[in-house]
Amino acid sequence: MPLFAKVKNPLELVKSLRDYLLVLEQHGSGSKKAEKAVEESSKILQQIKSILYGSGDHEPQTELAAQLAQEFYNFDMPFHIIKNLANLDFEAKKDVAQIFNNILRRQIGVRSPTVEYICTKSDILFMLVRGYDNPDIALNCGVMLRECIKHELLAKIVLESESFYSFYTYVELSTFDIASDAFSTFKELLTRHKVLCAQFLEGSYDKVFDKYHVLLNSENYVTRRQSLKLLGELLLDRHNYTVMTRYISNPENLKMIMNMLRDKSRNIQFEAFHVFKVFVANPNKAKPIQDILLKNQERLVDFLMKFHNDRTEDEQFNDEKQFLIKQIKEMSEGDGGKVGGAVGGATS
Amino acid sequence: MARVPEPVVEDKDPPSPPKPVSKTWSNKKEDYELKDVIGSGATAVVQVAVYVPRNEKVAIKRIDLEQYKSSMEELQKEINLMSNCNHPNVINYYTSFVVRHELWLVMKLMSGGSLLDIIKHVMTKGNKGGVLDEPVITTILYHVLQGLEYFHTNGQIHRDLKAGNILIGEDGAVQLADFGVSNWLYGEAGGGKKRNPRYTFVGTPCWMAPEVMDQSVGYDSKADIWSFGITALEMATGTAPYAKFPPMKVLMLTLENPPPTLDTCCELNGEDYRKNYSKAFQKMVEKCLQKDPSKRPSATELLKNPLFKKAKGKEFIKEVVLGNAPSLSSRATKVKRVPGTSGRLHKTEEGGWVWSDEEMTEEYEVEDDNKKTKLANKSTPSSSSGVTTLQASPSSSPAPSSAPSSTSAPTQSQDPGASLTGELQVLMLKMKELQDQITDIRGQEQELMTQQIQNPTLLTTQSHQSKAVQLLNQRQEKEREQQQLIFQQQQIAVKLQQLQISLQNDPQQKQDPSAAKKVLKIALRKRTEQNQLKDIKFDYIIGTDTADAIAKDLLAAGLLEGRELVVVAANISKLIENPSQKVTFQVGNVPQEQLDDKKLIGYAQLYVVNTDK
Repeated sequence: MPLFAKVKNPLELVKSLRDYLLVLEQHGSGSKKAEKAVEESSKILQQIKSILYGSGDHEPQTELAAQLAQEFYNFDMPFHIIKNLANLDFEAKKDVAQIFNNILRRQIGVRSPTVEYICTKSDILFMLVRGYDNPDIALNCGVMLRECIKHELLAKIVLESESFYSFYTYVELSTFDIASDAFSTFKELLTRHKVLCAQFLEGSYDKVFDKYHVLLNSENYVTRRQSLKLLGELLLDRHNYTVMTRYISNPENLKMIMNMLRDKSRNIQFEAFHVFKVFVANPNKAKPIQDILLKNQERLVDFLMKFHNDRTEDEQFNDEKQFLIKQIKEMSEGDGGKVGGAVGGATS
Repeated sequence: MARVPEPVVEDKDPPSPPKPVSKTWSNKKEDYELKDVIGSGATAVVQVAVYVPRNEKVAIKRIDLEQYKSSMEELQKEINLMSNCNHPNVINYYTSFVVRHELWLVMKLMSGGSLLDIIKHVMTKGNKGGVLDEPVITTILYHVLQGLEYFHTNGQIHRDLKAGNILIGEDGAVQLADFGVSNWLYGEAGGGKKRNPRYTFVGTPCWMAPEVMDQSVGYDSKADIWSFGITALEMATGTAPYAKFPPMKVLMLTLENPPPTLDTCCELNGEDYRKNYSKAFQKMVEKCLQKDPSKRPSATELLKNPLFKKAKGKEFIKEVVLGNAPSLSSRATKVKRVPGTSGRLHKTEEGGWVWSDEEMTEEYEVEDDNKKTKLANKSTPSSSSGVTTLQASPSSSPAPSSAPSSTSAPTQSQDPGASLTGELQVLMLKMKELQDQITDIRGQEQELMTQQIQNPTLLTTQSHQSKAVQLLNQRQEKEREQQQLIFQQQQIAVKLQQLQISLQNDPQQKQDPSAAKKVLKIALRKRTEQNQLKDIKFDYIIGTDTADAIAKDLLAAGLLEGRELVVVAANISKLIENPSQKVTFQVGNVPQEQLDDKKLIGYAQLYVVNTDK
């Protein structure tokens, strides 16, 4: 039961898709012409999808898929469909994401032709980032963007651009699913390619962490909890050693984390503990850090003795807590920061 | 395959007006006026609310993120799945936002409640010969199928289809709900190239397809078709066919017996439903309940079944079904289950699978009378009754096990099936006991939760909090034990099945011990999170099992951590090469100075339990 009178070849499909997208661009939405263009684009996208993924009993058509990818580059299709994504209908948007990701994953030997293509058209990446501005396409764009940044080259472009900093706004969006999708992308960007990430964090330290502190102090419980957790992960990753030492020698950071240890939320207290331990376990504490800890020595010991005592099952946590208590107890004025000589599992 | 199926039946509903531009919903708490609670669970309540700007009723699921046990990512996945759906037969998700430490999920209010509520309500009025009439059932199923078809073409599997997850709107609309366990079939947003079968053990046992229980074969969207068939029987008879059995037995019956039919239900319930349901209906159910998933029809194919030509529009459901439904306000006090929080096997933070179904625990109080005496034995592991206990001692080793060499003149006369079944029974009793304890703890938790809702200031009191945490810890401990049991039980169930197949294939085999496969009973000794040494025992069938697959099974059962997978697999192979040699190896991240391979701190050990006995 052929749904379409005539099966088009990849060139024809891509050509007519481009034509319909042009119509959308020129006429905006609402007009009769635009309506037809939306409808026709959906149909073409379905056909393209079934070439790439197969459909029903049909396997994907490898040869056609290769041709299709080639035509996509020739016609700048990835750029055009993303540009017009918001004008397409609900299902077509999802199809676009699937098609895009499939073509992105294509490999010829060790080469990834689509990655090479996007490197020359970095606007595609920035359009995807801006997708978070529009709730209608935010999640579709997120799916495509995350596939992109799996490739180090593409992640680098995003990290090194100004558009990276818009994530600090996106992760605080009020709609939970969009904000948390943006957060996953943000986290991927900061953790996936270890060496690249470490270089980036070192190079852009001030800007990254100034803004990061806004997240840690967010009104939004989820933002606070997620960003605190990520902070702990970043500091404990050995690739980020330089960043970690810099972070834990700043007394302002210590003060903030100590306040979070007393947050109303137990989950936040717990995540804060995992950042706090890095400050204490550091064998070469900066003077200001040492001063704060010494000044609060007794109170801290008291506090830690009572801290999450019901967490009896978490052996590692209890060991770490005991270690911290010992470290803080043994601190004294003349130590010159050499206190924590034996660094436990905490920082290594 | 086109996304929109060729309509086989003319439109059941009058042509809907052009699709309204999607309405916008604010993310401000003040815009929602909370009303009656219509459901509650351990970490969430569902409430009716009025969206003030439009004076429109909605349902809000309030999830307490401080208590929520799965990761935030899991929650995000669930919501993404919902927002990726746009179909009249799939629950309408509007928006979600954070209010203090709660997540509010705003959804369409389905004021008819779940189909399960309706079934139960009808049953209170007596239901000789069938709960819902065939025209009602086929109409509801027809709508369910359309939602299911949409799901499947999206590359999603629902994985927990049952009457409890089918919601009815005030206009008679039928919608699939509870995506708590549903998952993408191929990668993020259906992006993966291949349709990778899934291996995770989720769903509610009574509705669960055999291949989902089996775990060794993987499953696809056809698993939902099995559940669909069970749901059809549920609508006719009021319960899933094996609802009155404990979960372990359900697994066994599903794996071992021929698929359930309406006849099976007649026998089990002592009722005769046959006269009220057509041959065509029974045939349709049979097609869905075939053990070989590839033989089951797809949702698209099912929609073409002539049976559904008789299906009607939602108007009909509104008239016939909602007339029989309990009112929303009456449910407000009665309904205990909340979509997404209970009534299924779900994953805990530790990655283990646990059951939490209030209905189920109520229903399987039908165990044998020996229960008490048998349970009394539980503390003495090698009970004199000769019944194999939990950590089976070598002498009672089940399975067509065989000694590696000459000494093999074992008790081959003993029926291996019977010994396995015996072992299963013990496991089931143990399971039941654990389940009771868990239910008890859950009850206490629920009570705590209720106090909290009524008196929010309690949240801040230390004693209240520590009570809650204490309960949680207790329950998690029990749940971990339960996982162990589930894992052992699965192994036995699979073995039983294999045994059956091998007996069918070769009747001689039973008398021929040499033909039996060599089975090594292996124990993995390692420390639990509570630092107790525990043995995890499993069978390794030489020539059939691989170290990799076994390690993956252990992982799937929550007995291993992801990072331990490779090292355990590698050491299983090492052990198999030289079964007489214990293997000790490093696991976990214990600080160097504490490592101790004698006390197994930071180490685990693998050894063979049963050689030559």
